[in-house]
Amino acid sequence: MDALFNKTMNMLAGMLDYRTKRHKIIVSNITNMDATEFKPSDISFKNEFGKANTMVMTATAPGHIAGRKDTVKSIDYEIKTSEEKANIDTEMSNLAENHLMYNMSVEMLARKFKGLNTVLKETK
Amino acid sequence: MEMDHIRAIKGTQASNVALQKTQTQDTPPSGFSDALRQAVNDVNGLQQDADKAIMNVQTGNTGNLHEAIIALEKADISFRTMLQVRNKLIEAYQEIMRLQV
Amino acid sequence: MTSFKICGSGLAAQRAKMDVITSNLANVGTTRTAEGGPYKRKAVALTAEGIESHFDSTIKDALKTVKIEGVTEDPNAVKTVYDPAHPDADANGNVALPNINVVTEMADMIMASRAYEACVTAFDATKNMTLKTLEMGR
Repeated sequence: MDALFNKTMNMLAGMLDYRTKRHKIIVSNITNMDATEFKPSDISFKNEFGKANTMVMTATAPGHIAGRKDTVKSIDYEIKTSEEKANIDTEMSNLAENHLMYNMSVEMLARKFKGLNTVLKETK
Repeated sequence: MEMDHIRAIKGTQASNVALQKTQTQDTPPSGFSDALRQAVNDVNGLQQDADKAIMNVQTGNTGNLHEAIIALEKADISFRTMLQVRNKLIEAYQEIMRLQV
Repeated sequence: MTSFKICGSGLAAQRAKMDVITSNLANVGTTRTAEGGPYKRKAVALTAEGIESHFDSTIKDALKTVKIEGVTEDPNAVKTVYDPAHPDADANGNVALPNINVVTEMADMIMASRAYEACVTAFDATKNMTLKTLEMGR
């Protein structure tokens, strides 16, 4: 059944996870901006996210083209706490960007699911 | 001549059964019944993953909402896929039974 | 859900700040208080407090709710003004008034208001993301 849900969907699920984590951190930054001695944090990937999920395609017949080797690594996150106090404009724009990217990932994943749904519905 | 064919079919069936008996969990399924069994196990696993994710979100708030939704969708789609495969199998079986011998 | 809790704490903290600022503004000329002496300018101290029970260990240390540490009084809270006509003037005609600068308080009020709006925006973003996730399967 894993063949049904290809690497793109797993990548999108991973992106959703990253965006959720980042959202929580940005919200914490905005809320604690006036607290004494508070420094804002941000989250990023340790290794490249794009390389961690690739399709595997091996050539089974002459004339076919093989795909890249499959390298599925677990995602390592890295949290950096900045040295300076929080800047409301930076945090608000990060919030907006992260929000939109999250919605975009949800929409794309929803459409992938809908595609599978269509196949199942139309099967006679 | 026909006896040879029947003996050959019997031979392959016997070797198939032997093959299935020696298979362990780790090797990929080579017989059709094994593939079916693994698919059923996969579907069951996905259903249990969905249940676990739901429990995490609802009680104790130890899970992310998007994980639960994705797990539910995967379980639903894989189950419906298996249902369709089952329908097709039954259709094919009925088709064969309808054949005039 | 954690995000909602964090936003809620931020909203409460900024509202507390507003309350203290309006109290300062209202009492800008108060010379008599229950403790004796003029009203003393107050300020809210906020600290960031960690969330112990969060399930996600990768980001747990970066998430904090804001807690109202307490209301502190300004040490330079009193200024002396020469005004013999004032009912509370002492023998030399000096009155002890609260050292509250209206302009400073108004600036603080605008900042608290902006911070409150920022928390509201964060709350709306969280709600929108959650609702969008729920309709993923539809």
